[in-house]
Amino acid sequence: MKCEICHKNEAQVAVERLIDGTRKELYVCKRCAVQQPPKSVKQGLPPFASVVNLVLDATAQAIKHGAIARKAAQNQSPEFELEKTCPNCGTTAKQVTNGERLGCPQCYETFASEIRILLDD
Amino acid sequence: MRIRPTIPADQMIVLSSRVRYARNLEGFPFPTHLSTAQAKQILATVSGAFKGIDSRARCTLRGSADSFEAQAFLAEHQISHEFLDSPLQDASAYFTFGNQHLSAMVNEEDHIRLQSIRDGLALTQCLDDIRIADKALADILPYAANPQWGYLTACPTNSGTGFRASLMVHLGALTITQNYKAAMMRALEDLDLNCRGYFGEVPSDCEPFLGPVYQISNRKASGETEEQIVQRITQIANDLTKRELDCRLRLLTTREGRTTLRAHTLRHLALAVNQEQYDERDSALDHLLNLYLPAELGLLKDITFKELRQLATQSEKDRFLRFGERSDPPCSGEALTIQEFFDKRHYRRGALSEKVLLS
Repeated sequence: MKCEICHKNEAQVAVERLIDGTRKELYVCKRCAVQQPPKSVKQGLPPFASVVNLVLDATAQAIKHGAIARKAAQNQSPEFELEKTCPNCGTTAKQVTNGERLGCPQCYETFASEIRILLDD
Repeated sequence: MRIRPTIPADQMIVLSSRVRYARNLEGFPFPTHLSTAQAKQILATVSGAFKGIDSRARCTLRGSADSFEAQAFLAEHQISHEFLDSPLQDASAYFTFGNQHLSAMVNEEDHIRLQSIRDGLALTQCLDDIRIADKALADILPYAANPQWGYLTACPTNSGTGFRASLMVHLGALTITQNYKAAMMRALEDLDLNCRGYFGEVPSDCEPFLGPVYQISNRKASGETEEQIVQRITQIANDLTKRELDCRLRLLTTREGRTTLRAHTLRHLALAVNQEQYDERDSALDHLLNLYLPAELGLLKDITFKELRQLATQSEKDRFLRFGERSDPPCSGEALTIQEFFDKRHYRRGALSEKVLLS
């Protein structure tokens, strides 16, 4: 199956993306999984001045709080293996990328790269 | 036109504040992967710790709570639907403490969910409540945590501080005058904030928001301190409050606005008054929440906003009661509670317009 974002590479991982205000599961390649979705996928804000102001104000706050700096620091190339399974509880990488809950504390070590992507998305 | 404000201005819009910490114990799987024996072991350990930090800690086992008691906790937002449906019936429990704002669920999504709920905008006070309890518990309980991820939780978005701050806001005027919901949700999403419904539900086409009441909370629990999260959400709440108050003023001071408000009020009054059954799930509550705006503005004769809020909570508690012997024909508990409320104030179908104090 081809990646649903770039339509070039083979899809290797399922990720959740916000499209038109709803969360959808997309099968994408590693490259697209770690990048922000292109403009054609991610919708801009509606022309609603007051809400936009609200966003701008708080975005400034977010930058101040280092949230964006943290994202940049974590933007490393992850290693994906969809068959990867937690040796302690049996949770699979597919379950984690689908947004299901983790089974045990060890999942944080087993699925570190998948969790980083989920938190950055 | 007579306007009779029924509540202090600083308690408008933000109905309540809630914060919580998610914590798990080291050496155990998260609740979805717990055996009953493990879950019972955790419950016994945590219960002992709760009683160690507060002799007034009181435990209600999920399995021992009857459905009415559980529904009452749910109506007051003390427990979640998830907790109610937990498969760990005999090994999950709800705790109250000497501090009436504080409560905890054991073996819900995480081993421990410690929360504080207060009226109005009071996130800082709520944070103090849970921080004191959490500090005392951390001395007794081995929390699952590591330097890279912070506190480890079943849902990765809660890892880090395990902290969530949530405000229940009533945006009645913005909701009826503008297509505000979709824009607000998208804007909040961009700020890493969640916008959920009255019971924390994620709205969808088949299950839209209940009334104009929303819960706004942080989506992630890492990258910011608790104080920063509280400050950010408080800022948003203050901004939304200003916009809502402006919008209310526009509704009350323009002919078009008054027409809209009056039509809205009469429609939801008619649907709430003299109903014998509410067919769709949550429809009674939806009408009551939609009447919050006229009640806050003092436009409902003989009904204060406080009374209407109490009715919304009470009717939810009574939802599963049946009063076959008390009414003819038999009707649901929530319908009877609502009927009695409006009957007492002489609200009758066909004569509702004289009860709306808005020309």
